[in-house]
Amino acid sequence: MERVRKEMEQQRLWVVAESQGEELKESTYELLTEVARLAAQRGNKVMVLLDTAGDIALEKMAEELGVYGAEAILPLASAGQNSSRQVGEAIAALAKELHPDAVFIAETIWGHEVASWTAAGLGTALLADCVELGLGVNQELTMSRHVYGDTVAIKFAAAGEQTLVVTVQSGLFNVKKSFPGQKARLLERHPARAGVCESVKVLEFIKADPKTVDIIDAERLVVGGKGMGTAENYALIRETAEVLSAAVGGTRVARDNGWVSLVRQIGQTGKTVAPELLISCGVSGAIQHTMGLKETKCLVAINTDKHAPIHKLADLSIVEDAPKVLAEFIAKMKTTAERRQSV
Amino acid sequence: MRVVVLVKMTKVIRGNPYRTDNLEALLNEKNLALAVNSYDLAALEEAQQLKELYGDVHITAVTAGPESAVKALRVARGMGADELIWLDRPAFAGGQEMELARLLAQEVSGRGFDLVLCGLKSDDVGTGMVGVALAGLLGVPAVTRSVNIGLQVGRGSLRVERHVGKGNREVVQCPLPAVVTVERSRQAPRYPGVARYLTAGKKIVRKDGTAGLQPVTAPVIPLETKKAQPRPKKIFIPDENLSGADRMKMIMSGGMARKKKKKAQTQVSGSEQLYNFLLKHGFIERL
Repeated sequence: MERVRKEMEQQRLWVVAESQGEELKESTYELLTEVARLAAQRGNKVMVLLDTAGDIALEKMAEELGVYGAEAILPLASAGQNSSRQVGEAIAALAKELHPDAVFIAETIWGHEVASWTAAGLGTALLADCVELGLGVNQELTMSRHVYGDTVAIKFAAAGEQTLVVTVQSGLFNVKKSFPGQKARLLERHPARAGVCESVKVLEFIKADPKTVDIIDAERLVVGGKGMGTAENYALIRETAEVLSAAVGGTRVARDNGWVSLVRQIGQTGKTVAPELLISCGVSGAIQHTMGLKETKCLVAINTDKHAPIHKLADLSIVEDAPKVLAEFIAKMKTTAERRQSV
Repeated sequence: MRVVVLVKMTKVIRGNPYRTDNLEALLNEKNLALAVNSYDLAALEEAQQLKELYGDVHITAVTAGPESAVKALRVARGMGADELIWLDRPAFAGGQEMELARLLAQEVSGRGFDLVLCGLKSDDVGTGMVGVALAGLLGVPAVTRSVNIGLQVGRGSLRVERHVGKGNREVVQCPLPAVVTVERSRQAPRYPGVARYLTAGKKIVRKDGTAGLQPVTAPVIPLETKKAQPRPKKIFIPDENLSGADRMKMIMSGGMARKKKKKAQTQVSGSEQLYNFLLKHGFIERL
């Protein structure tokens, strides 16, 4: 036991992994790659702390994470449901004993909560949502975070002996297998159970209803603009949205004509959306509207004008009249659904 | 039921922050306006809705800070708070969240409470830690990111809907007393009543916010402040395990990152194109 403690004390940088079913989240690999890079520069070792509530094959994980730069893996046995407080407080207790230089967590909903509990347990500050990690002149850790609504960046440097608790934004770093052939050591399971949090019980999970979900959160959107022409045609947008279980959005013109309400308007005077799929019907693509579409993953544009700017952004451009296309599409989807039922 | 709502003022840069690169001018006192934290407004709204729903709810608004923090209490009064507590002390610097949490815990536990509501995070610094730290210090359960709070039958526990991303919600049951941090509601909070806002001054109870606290040393020191750059996007780098030729090929083709644009085909009808595209990308299922 004493030997294990000694070894754990050498791991100066800790990374908390977040699981998603049997896998780890992409953000965990990004963070691990970046922290391993820092660790290599400082001559430190990295330990990954892993909540084992999910169905994770630990042996396999040890092999896999070693390649990304993990030196050791410490499984934390939490109760599963609502685990952020248990994990956070367990990490804080461990950190009090072993004094690592920093605990890094990827900024997600779960990650942020774990970080808050860890920082609260340690009685230290939380450096949330950092965008950059680095080393200072004396090999001390530095990190930047944005304040005042992403307008000002402040760079901090570690001072003193306190353990830092840092969360890092996801999607900033490349995932890289920097240490081929390395295998992480699997440490003994560490219990992570706190008394008070077990009183919070999860009752149910409500999946977002595409009809009522806020368009900011919507995964699929069907958006109509001036080219839809009339309110009757706009009903086709709603129908298409229902067929695809998507939410309805609109441009400024659509709102001015009373086809959609203000809460469903996209663009400068409306909202910024980030759906997986967006079908844009009869929208020319003026900048006031398209600035609200920046985060869209897959964009389909239907517009009669082949020079319309929206076609420049689109993954699929259809140069046709939107109401006609939608009506045909709905009919096609309905016949497919009927055929499926009869089969 | 005794509900304590924690409110604070946040600093907001006036006008368009991208108009100048001169950070000093931008962060000049004259350029910074104070506004009530939008998440705290959501918390106040939630408290008021509880009051309207269940009647016997006593709302206490608590803030800590210099004279300028009092405006948050005025707004709270306008939105229906019954009691206003001002913990007078110099403004907190960054990294002192724990000290603030201790101060608030001292005040809140001293007066007794059933429910503490606070914003998920603040608009300016936004570490989102004080609520959680407070729950830890008080030794009560905490629920974060709530969008809807209701009392369970018997009123011994809460039924809280939490926002867990993508518009999905998780419903949890939480015994009282508890700390709940409130996500910004998608419905705008009510407007503070003018008469109550104006007469709030008489209601404010000033307390000393510096007594009996040992200062916390921040674990970090600020090195430099600069304008935030747009978020760096991930750059595409081919896997190192690939052979040189393969890597070359990937770079030339732009890897997976570059979108392949499909030219509109006139011979296929628009609806057919749309159907095939959605099918190909897995948004709809084949028969």
